[in-house]
Amino acid sequence: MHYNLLFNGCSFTEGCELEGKTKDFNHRIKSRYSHVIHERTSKTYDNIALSGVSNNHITRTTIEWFEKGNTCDLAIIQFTMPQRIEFISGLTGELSLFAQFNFIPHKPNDFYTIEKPIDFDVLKKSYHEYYRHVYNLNVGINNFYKDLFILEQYFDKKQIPYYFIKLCDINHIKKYNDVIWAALCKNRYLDIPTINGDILTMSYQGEDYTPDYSKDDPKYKWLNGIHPSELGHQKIAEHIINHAL
Amino acid sequence: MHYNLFFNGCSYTNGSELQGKDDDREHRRLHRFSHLISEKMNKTYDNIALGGNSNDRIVRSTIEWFESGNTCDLAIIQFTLMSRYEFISRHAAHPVNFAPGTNIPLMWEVEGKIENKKDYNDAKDAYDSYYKYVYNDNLGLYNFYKNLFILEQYLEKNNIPCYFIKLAGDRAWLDSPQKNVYWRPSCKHTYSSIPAINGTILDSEDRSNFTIDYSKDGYPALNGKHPSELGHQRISDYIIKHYAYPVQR
Repeated sequence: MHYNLLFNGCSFTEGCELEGKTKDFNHRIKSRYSHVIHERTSKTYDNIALSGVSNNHITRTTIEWFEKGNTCDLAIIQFTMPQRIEFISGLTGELSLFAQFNFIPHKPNDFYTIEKPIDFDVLKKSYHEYYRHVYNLNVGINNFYKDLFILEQYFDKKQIPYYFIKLCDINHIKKYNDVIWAALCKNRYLDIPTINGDILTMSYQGEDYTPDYSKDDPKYKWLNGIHPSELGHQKIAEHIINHAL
Repeated sequence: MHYNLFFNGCSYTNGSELQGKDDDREHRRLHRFSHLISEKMNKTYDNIALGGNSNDRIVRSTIEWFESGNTCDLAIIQFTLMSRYEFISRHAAHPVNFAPGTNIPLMWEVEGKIENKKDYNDAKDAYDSYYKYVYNDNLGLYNFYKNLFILEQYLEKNNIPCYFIKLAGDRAWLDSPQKNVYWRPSCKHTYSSIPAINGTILDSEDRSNFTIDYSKDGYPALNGKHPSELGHQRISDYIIKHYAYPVQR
């Protein structure tokens, strides 16, 4: 199927927390920046972003979307934190998402309905060992650049226009080693506009972000005020309209 | 620089153990399959394979070879064990390679030397944890297919003909068509369809295909696990027979 715009990314592009206490997922879809852009420009779109996913996942699913026969005039890809990886269970072959400080076993179709997998303890051990002993900033940045290389090559080869944004800079670090895969890429990590910092305020506070309801009641643990509000999504939409369309 | 043939891979393509007890590197160079093919077909070639290479590094160094201005008529890439992994220490920007069983991180980018103790300890700590708690064969297959996709895309985009072989086929059961293997649907090759040196090209049971084990005589690196001169001759014959391109050109 052909769309004018493809959006992929993590929870920021999925529109997490816009559903609010009433779990109004239709409100989420209508208020997230992909839909705001559609309303303002009349462009058709598909949004395949998922919460908690890694750049590994965003890269792979973007390519799968095209390889299934879909096409678009512009791909808008929101990279997420480089700490995250896709992990495959040795027992079941199922996908898990490793996000530093946030262990999400198996498919993240919906945070509200994640079931505990049969190999939960093994996955959790792998998760802890990975971040304790294997992961470091160089590994994260190299992983990011390898994914960036894949997308740049693919988009160039298929002549698909693209626009990249990213969630945030790693720990807001402005200096890091340009490790091995970086030399092969056209874009630079620090040059890609950051939602949290360049487009919205960096503080996770104020009107750009959703209210934090997590302290009020454990059932609102996913409404912890770290995602863009309706206004935040409008600002992201304006940035993309101004810079990419 | 332009070469007719480009070779990359791990120790099998590097010709490990052909140097023998005398450490005769020239003998190794002249008897490994890259040289045999090139000699037979009267082609120029470059071989950048290194012992202990991971598929991560084989793919990256192949692309770097082309991006630094080299060209070739045919790239012959030998994939290695899917369990190997390229890692970067928190203390250094150069990569090291993890290969299970070697028990040490391999650091060619610093000419085989350990740059500093902190760097080595960090890599060793990661190595131990990676194989004890993180690595599994499903993850290895995922990584293999991701690297395969990168290389296929790059070679196709740049119109570079290629021929792929792999070291071993002992994990082929993982690649069952019934199984959901991530990245595989986007690739043109499959793991199972790539000829394995050990098993398809060489009879693993035929010791004449492999070097003599001198490891008990004080030569730990000469453990009889790599192709002999005859083994390399057979790999060379197989590639020439199954990939007609160098002959017809």
